[in-house]
Amino acid sequence: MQTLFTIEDVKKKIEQGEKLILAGDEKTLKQLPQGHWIAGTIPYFMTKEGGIHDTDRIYVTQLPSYIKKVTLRTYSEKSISDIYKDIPENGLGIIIIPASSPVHLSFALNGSGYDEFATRPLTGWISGVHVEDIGKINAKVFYGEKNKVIEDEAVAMLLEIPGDKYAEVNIVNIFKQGNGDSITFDSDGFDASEAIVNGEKVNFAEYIKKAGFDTRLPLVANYKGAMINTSFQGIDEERKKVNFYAPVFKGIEYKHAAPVGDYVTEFTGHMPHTNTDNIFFSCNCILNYLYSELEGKSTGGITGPVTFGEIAYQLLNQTMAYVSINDVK
Amino acid sequence: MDIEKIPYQIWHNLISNKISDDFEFLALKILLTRLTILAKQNSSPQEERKYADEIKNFFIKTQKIPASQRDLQKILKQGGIL
Repeated sequence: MQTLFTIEDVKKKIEQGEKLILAGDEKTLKQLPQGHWIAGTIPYFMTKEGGIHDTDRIYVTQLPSYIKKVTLRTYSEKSISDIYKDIPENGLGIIIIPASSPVHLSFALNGSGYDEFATRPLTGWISGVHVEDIGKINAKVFYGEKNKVIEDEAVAMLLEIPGDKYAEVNIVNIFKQGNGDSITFDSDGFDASEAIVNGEKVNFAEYIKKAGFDTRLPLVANYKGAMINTSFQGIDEERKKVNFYAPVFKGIEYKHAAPVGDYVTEFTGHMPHTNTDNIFFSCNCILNYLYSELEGKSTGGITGPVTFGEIAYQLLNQTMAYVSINDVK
Repeated sequence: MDIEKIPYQIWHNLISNKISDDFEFLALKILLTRLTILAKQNSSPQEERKYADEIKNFFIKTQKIPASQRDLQKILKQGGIL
């Protein structure tokens, strides 16, 4: 179950020994007692009533009662490569990583090469700050068992799921590849000076200006039918390079996304139609929240923190990630 | 089904893009994209064997998940096993 609670209510839950995944403003999270919880900073949420900016309440994901074995731990830039191996065999990992931390960059660039990548379900999010505080305040995560506030490491909750159930991570992405140019890159990275457009090497910053890209629309790669976005952070005019919110990868073909109509209508149309009652955790991207003006607009009843990056096995942008826990039939 | 007994050629064809289908399981789509790119970039027999083993192990470890089972059926059908 996911919903917003007052600080007092969350304190009670922690004191009762509940194991919680939390999201909230830094000042509210700092008031919580030691206990079995992890958290990330963010003051934006999707609720049943719609998108909301709230610095007083805390978004709570409570574990289903059938989950008995839970491990909380932190991951550094060095140890993050163990994340998949550490998830129990019939389990689920939920990770929260501070935006722009070394572990964020390392996971985004190298995650798909980690041992056991994709063989065990991993979801989670990149913590952030109020958009007006970007560059002034660092995003943080909280490790409740030690009452630690952390800027440079990730926190994770590793869950063991009963044998008669399984967890499945999925995404809702309203963006599709447009009909425009084929774009590839010679190297992996969060920025690119050069790109290969329809086989011709170009300066990518100059190209997207000349082509008149709406940079609110991401680059989209087709991963065997799964549309995976890389969002534009901005163009560095001085260095003539383009910065992204997730890495572009060598060998992947990207296209600029086709324009979308009304986000809420598109999103509702892409929502899963089966097993929605079993959705245990979800999160949606701050860029969807901002560009599609989701404040006050409901997105079909799926709720969760609004994030600076979503994780469904790997780092994603402008996507809703969710996990359901279903019965084995 | 005993996934260990599926012939190596099926896995090799999968990572070489000779078997492709409208897959359902997100984890497979992401992993297979990575492995097909790696196989294209490093096509030595040793590396191909490594990537084929990785995709076989993926199916062994996710065989409880219905989407994984359905995708495996599609692969075997395309590979002429079913």
